[in-house]
Amino acid sequence: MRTENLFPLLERTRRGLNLILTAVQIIRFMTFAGMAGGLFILIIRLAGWPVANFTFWIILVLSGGLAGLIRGWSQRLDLQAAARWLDEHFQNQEAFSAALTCLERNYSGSLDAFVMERAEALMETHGIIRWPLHYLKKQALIAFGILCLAGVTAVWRIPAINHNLSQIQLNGPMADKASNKSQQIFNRIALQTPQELAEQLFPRDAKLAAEAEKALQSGDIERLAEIMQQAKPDLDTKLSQNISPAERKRSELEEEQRSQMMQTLQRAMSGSGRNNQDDAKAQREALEKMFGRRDTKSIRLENFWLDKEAGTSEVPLENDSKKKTVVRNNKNRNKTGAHQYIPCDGSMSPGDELGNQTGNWGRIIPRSGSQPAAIIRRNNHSVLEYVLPGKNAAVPLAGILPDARRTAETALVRNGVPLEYSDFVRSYFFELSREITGNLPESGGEK
Amino acid sequence: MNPSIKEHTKKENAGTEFLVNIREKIEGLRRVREQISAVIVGQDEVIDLILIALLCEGHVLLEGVPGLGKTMVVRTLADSLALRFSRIQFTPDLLPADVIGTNIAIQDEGGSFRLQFEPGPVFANLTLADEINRASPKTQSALLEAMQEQAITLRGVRHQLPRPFQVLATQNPLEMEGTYPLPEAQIDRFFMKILVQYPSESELIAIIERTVGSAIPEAQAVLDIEELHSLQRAVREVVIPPHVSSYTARLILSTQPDHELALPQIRQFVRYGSGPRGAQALILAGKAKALISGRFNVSIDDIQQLACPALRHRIALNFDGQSERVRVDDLLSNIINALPVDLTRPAGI
Repeated sequence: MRTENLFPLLERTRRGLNLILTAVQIIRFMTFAGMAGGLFILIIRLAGWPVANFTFWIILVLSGGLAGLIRGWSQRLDLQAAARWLDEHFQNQEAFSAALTCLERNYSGSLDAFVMERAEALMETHGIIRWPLHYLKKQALIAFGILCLAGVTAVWRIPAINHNLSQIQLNGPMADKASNKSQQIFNRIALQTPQELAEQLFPRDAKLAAEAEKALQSGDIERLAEIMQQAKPDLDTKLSQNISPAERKRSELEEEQRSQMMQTLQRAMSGSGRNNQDDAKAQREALEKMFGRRDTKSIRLENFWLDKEAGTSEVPLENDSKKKTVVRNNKNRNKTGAHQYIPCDGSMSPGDELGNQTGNWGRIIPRSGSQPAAIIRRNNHSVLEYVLPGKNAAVPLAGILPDARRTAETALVRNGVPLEYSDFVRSYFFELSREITGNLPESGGEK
Repeated sequence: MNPSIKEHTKKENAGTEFLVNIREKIEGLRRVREQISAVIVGQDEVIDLILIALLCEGHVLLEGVPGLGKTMVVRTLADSLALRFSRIQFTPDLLPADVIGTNIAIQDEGGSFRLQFEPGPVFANLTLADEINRASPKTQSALLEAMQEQAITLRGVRHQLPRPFQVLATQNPLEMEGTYPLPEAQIDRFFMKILVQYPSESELIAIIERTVGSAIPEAQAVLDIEELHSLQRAVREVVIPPHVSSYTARLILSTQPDHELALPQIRQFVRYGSGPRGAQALILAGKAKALISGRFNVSIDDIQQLACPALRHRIALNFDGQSERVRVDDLLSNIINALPVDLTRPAGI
């Protein structure tokens, strides 16, 4: 009797089954962890709490896998279980289990020899062991589905939710405009650079896109209109040709998008306070407002700040008789290096005046040794301005707002800022844009 | 067989002469089975179960309407094993002495009288107690005591019953009026309760053809008592793997309505479940079945197949169960279906 063959067979079976069972446990625990993690991330995102990212989810899933490994290891099968499985697998009527029992009791039973004899005969005739991989596959498939779902939840930035919330938050204060599609387009335009907008207008024509970008940057709405008119014959030509329906549909959509954007641009300009919509200057100003083109005065102001930082000059700007600004040099920097805010009462040195800025303002002296910055409060504005070194405090707000708003919106979307802060930031920019829109005739480009 | 193991087995099991030619003896059992089948048409399960009970030296309660061949089966079994057969027709006026025997006064040559024990019909290898529930409880108890003790005691003298000793009692489930149903405690002493069913159409045709002709088949003795004794001893030696014992124990516990393993329907319909005697009967029956099948180890299948005959009379329904006409066999089938065989590995592997 080849009893020596029984143990290796059982041991091999035991190892195989333990491997499968451990794998199943790992998969199962990873699935649970992934599902729970995905749900957790989804909930905290919806609640607007600090967002747990994909790395957190991956760590959670791996921890689940580790827990599954530990559980699988702790619940590994013994030889009796392996024998039972073999008996069930080959329908042996418990031949291997009984043989193992006989072996374990050292053949002390009267009929043990017969039992071993039968087990030996079965060992010689049994077929290939078909491991229960279907069980593993089934578990793996279920796990894969759930993990994909949970993973998408974890990776997904919830664009729909963010977008909808963004719309709600942007449009919430101006509910009267919320339903207006052009307002949405306007919001989109306001968040795009001229290059992005141009590429969006002419996605398949680099030349026209470049020209449109130039027109947008220069604020030349007429040129933009010309480019669009130029694009239309090309489209008509295309449509008249024998092109595929998909191509035709795409071209028509592009044209529709272009016309919608053009209308929106024109409406935005007409809504900026100008009555005469044909006024080219007004159009230019509106585009400047939208895309932040810097004028010569802005450049002058920037130069002034650069000079001030160098401590070399104090450049009085136009209309500066009443408005006073002070920039102190590095002497006032304290030893600790921290920023120090010095409130100003308007009685500063007249030589430090800046443009037409009014009201009190102060300066922050960085303790770190970097350049000083200033906080300005204007008389006719409720908004404090924090002027960084090298930046121009006299740049029109309308000129920097789109960029700032776009940057802020990008940061909100990418970094998953909690909703209450997002709301605050968006409201802030909305208030700024509303103020600018309301004061455009007076304030556009003159600050 | 490996000579070393054979030698080891011989050394370790001195006094196991009953194992000599064990395979031939098992083959003899098959021949007995064939002899019975030659006389009895159908009733295969009944015959198998009676043989199992015989190997386990257990008593059998046969339940079925009259005329299904119960007596014929027992008589044929006795014939094929060359066993002494007796039949007792139980009636309400049957006395214990009519069953176990009595002392009678015998006059010797000197004219004096002495008491001599006259054995009753219970002194046989196979005793058919027909309609046992018609006798008074006193008479029933006399028989059941004999069944339990394998001996009777009369006027302080113990009389050993012949070996093998097996009682096959019958009950008619229809005519319950004027009967004395066996108490649960006494029913528990039966190793098995076998339900004798009506024959199928083909079986009925075969019965007609076989019994109404001129030639009535008769069984021949193919296994002697010594061989039967050997087999009865061998049954006890059949190997039972640990997980089969564990499964049997859980199966028994599942029949108890207060146990945590009990199914909801067991809690609802069962008054009391099986006890240790049921577990013993089930395991022993499993061993006998394995031996008859030519195996030397009990399998889960053996236990599952024998659960109903071994346990059905050990489970009592409560009022709800009786009024709902719940069948104990259905409850046992549900338990078997619900009870996992192996607790160490998950279902599906």
